[in-house]
Amino acid sequence: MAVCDAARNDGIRIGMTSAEAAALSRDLIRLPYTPQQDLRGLEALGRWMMARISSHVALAPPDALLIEVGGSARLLGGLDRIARRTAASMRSLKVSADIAIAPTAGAAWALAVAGRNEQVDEAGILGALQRLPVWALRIESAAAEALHHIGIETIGQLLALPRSALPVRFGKGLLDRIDHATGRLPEPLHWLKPSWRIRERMVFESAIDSLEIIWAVLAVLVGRTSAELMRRGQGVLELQARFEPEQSPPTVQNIVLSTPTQQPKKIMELLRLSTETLRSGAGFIAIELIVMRSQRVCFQQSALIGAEEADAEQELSGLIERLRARLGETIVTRPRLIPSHIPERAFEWTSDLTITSNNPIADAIPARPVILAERPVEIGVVVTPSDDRTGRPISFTHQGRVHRLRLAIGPERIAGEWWNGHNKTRDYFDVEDETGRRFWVFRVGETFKWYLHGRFA
Amino acid sequence: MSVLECGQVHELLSPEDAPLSVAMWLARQHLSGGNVMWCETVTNLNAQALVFAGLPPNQLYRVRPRNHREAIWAMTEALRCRGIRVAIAMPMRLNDVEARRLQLAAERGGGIGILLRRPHETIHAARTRWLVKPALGDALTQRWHVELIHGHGRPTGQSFLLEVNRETHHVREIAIVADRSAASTPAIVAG
Repeated sequence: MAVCDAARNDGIRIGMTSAEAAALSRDLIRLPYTPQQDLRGLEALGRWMMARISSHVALAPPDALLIEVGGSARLLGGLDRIARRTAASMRSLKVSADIAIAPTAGAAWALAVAGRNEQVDEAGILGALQRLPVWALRIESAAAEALHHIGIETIGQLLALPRSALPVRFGKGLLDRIDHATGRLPEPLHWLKPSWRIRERMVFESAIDSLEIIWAVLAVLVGRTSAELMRRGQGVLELQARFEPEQSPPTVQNIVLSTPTQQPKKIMELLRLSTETLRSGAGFIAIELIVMRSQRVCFQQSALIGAEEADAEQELSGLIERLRARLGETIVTRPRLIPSHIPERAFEWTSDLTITSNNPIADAIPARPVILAERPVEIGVVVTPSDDRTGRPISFTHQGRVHRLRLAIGPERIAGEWWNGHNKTRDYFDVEDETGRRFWVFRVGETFKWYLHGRFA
Repeated sequence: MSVLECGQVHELLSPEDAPLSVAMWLARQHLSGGNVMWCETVTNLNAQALVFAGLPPNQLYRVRPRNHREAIWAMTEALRCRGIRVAIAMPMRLNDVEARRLQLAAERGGGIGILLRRPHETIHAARTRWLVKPALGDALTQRWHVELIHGHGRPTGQSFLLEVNRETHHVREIAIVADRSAASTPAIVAG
């Protein structure tokens, strides 16, 4: 929770009840406390600072930023100027802040939270800390309370205590915090990672639900995204569009491109296809485009192959993108041949179009039916009379229809484990009925049961 | 039959199973290094069979639309695309607008569209229509009887036997000189 300066002047303090505060100030504005949003705001502020003051910014939630300015001091003209510049930035954002500069993050934090907008150097660090309250060391409240009970209020008093006694009485954390502040112990900080992702976002005052408006918004966002891509010399490979309703979780649409592109027209076309069936429900209050993957754009690409061929290739990738955008990411597949002698395991259809297969030596294997059931269907078969039930098929019945066979070619024996991991042998026959239709049937060697597996359609 | 007009849609009509093998053969005939796209809802298309029929796996794409509308849209897009040489689909009923769109798309893309349909359909998108029926084969070959029933400038009634060798996967087109039924032993000339 926090209060602004104006409220503080009216006597409002953190921890008051809402009624107490209202009694002190007539124009009190109460906002809900949302730690998650505050953290996002803090991160946004941190990123803003990254662009202006230093690329090393760490978050110290709930309300502090740690900025490493040692490297920027020369670039920006000294620490004074950095402090002034930071203060000006905060003012321009209408954010009140205390700004302190010190050789350690701990000391800078202590000065800032104590409201001391100061600069201290190595030599001044201990002196500056002396008069600050102990809680300015970022210690746990239990430790601060324990110190309060024995009459220790300032860091100076704390430093006067024998070092060796501290960990036993107040935990190891306290000693570490003292050392972080004085610089005796280096403090690892989690710097914000520079964000390489391009994100373009638009927030609306009231929810929008008409597809036309959504598309108009998308067109603006695409324009900005495309401009940023061009600036970076990159093309988008995967784009995420997030549509955020007020209450429920956002609807997310991903668009995958086969070649990196910056063209707003092309991106917009794909977005339009993928959002045609978008259910807006109660409408969206924000729309965001995020470049999930991008790649450097290579302009020489088409010089390597003939212009016509390149056009065809480009059109093909455009086609695949459109199909995926409108019908789903896995809608386009390509065969992958797998070295297996079990017919239904010898291939798969994969949506990973980067996969390439070698042409197999076809004539090593006799004809395979173009329609092959994933699971063979058991059928009744009449076979030629034989003593050991291994006769050849004469007719079979499938879906109530009797197929009298004029040809039964085979058997082709395929041994090995099949669909349920059973280790059984199949004897396959190509059979042709009286009308010339061909089927692929097999008998399981161990059970003498017959199955229909495919059709030579 | 072996040469179909480019930038056009052609229909293979069949009373029972869609003649996928004939479509595969036609696709191979017209592929000339390009890509082929199957736009269909047949659940168990055997990739191995397609590849054995001479369609290189790296030039083979498959789209599985969920309904008629999606199928027509996907087929139209595929036909429009210069990166696809042959597009194959199995639409049931077509309305005039859809048929016209397919035709225009094929003209724009310059490839070949093959539609596998039932003979009783009334609205057609096609430059040529062929009636395909299974014919009797033997231990080494499977055969189809193919008859041109509608073609711009081509003599209708013209028939062929298409013969697939089950060992070598080679396909032969055999012109039927005499007008006899495919079931009887036809007088044939190898084509």
